[in-house]
Formats: sequence, structure tokens, C-alpha cells
Amino acid sequence: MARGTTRRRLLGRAIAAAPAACLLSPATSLLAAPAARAQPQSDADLLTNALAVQQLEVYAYRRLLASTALDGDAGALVTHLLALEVQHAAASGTVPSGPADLATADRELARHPVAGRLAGTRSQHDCVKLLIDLESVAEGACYAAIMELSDAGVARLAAEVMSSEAQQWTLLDQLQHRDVIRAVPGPFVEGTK
Amino acid sequence: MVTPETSRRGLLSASALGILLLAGCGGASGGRRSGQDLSTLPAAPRAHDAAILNSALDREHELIAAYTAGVPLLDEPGKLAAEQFLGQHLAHAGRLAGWIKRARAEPNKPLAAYPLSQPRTAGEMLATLHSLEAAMITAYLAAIPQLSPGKLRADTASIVANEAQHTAVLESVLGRAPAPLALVTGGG
Repeated sequence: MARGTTRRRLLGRAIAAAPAACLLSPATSLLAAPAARAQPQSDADLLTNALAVQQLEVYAYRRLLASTALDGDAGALVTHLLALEVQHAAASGTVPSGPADLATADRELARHPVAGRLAGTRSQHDCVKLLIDLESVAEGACYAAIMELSDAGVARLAAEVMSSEAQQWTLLDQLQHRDVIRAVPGPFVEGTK
Repeated sequence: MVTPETSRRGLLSASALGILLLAGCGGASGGRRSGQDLSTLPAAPRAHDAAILNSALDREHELIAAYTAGVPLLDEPGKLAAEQFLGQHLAHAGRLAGWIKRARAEPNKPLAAYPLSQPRTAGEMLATLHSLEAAMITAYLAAIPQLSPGKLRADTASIVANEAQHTAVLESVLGRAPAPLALVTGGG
């Protein structure tokens, strides 16, 4: 059996346990009332949170790639990284849909420690900075999920995705600063919450 | 076979000291936000975790030896990166040693020498380091499902993600396409 198929089944099995409302609204578990959030999260809830960030990343990469802000090198890198993000988001056939429009995406971004907004991003520097911040959020979402996931196989898969997000963070930072030391700043990657 | 040379002895001594210092830090910060603390696990899973972590520590020791031997062979920017990565592997080893102590086991010590290949050029050295990093990623990913669930798994993943950053930079320096796969397995 193909490895990708196995992964899809693994994620699908975990997400199949999620309530339908949770899958229809990617932000459901993040926006839940405090009392509800105090309950232990299921593997499906945890994955839904992480996948919502993946979908936001896909939207942001596509949006910034369509702008005229990126030069040749930056455009080539962002195109490659978008392909990786699409594969992350497609790892499950039951992924909730991403932001419907720019305003929704920017509202989603505002809930995370991301300084920029898609609507106001004009320069290449600002585009890459926004993507770096978003990669940190994706790392943090995976890290938080792994901490709570009960399915060992899904925890491993989340670690594989998290490692890819870390690589993307590094490549974007290298593009931005041309500094190999800065691009791998610390020995432990936990992202941002 | 790579054996420590006089010029490397100082670096390795510093490495050993760094591990000891960092082991203390790891032990102090070993409390779990999620899952049970290593020190309070029942004996069997605690010993199981310690054995897995010691296996990872052995590989970190090998990478530390490889980077220590490799740095003098490298030019910029590979040299800068390798020096940075050496420090990060020392931090990984220190964290692992701290966890192993919390599991009430003894961290494995580095071997006197490691059977590494004999790279002659900077490119060969970088390729050797990349292969070792990739093997390390594969080993960590295999370990994650075997470890007790909770913070230990997440913090192990935080080490794997750093190793993945190392491979991406080494691929760039080697002129390869960096980060070719969406899921990092170490086997790509």
C-alpha cells in the first residue's frame, strides 16, 4: 500500500470520530466557550485545529503568490512551499475548507501571533515576514497537538508535518535575511501559539 | 575510523561539559504540561522510555563527533552552519541526558571513536553530515510512537524539527533542492 494512502487512512480514522459540526467549521474547537475548552480534546479536535492552520497557510501562500510583490527567487520558493502546504492539507480527504475570502483569512490571522495582514501586504519583505510568522503558528499547532494526541501513529505523522513546517520556516528566513545562523536559531522547535 | 585529535580534544571536552550542564537544565525543566512526568511513571514504562532515549543519545553523540571532526574541513557557509548545528546537537544530547536521569537511568556516554566514513573534501563531509542527520530523523520518528504520550513526545518532535532544519540548510549548501518532500521522514 502506498505510504500516502496509509497516512490518509490514519488521519481519516482519527477525524472520522469528530462531530460533524466540528468538521464543517474549522474554527469550532478554537472558538468554543471556555467551559467547553476545559474538556479534554479528542484526537479529532486536535487535528481539526492543526488542519485549520494548514488551510490558512494554503490561502495565504496562494494570495501572496498572486500578488506582484515577489521577485523570481522568492516566487520560486513560495511556489515550492505552497505545493508542500497543499500536500499537508490534503493528507486527509476530510479536511475542512479554508477561509472563504480575504476578510475571513485576515480575521483568522488576527487570532494568531502574526503581525501582518494579507490585505495590507505590499512588499516582498512583508510577504515573507507574514509567511514566516504563519509557519511558526503551524509549528506550534503541531507541537500542541502532539502533546495531547493519544494515537501514536498520528502523533508521528504530526511530527513529520511539523518538521516540514520547520524546514519551510528556515528556507523563508534564509530568503529574507541571507543568514544561515539566523535561519536555524535554536535547538528546539516549538513554534508559537 | 575517526579518533579525537589533539586539536579536537578541547572541543570534545567542551562538548562533554556542555552536556553535563545542559543535562541539569533538562532535568529541571522536565515537568509535563500533559501526560505523566517521567520520574513518576511506573518502573516498566520508565525503563522503556529511558532505553529509547539512550538509543537517541547514542546517535546524538555520533553526530557530535562527526560535526567536531567535520568543522575543520569545511569552508563558509557550511562551516558556520556546522558550528551552529554542533552546538544544537550538544543541546539535544543535554536534554536527552536530563530526561534519562529523570527516568532514574544512567545516560550513555560517548564512545572513544566512531566508525565514520573518510570524507576528503568539504562536499563529501557535508554529504556525510546530511546522511547522519537524515538517519537521526528516521530514528527519532520511529521512537516517537514508542515513547510515553504527552510532553515527552512533543519535545522529541521539537528536536526532530530542528534536525529537519539542519538537513534543509545542508541541502542548500550542497546545491541540492532543499526540503523536497511534504512529510519529513529522513528517508527522502
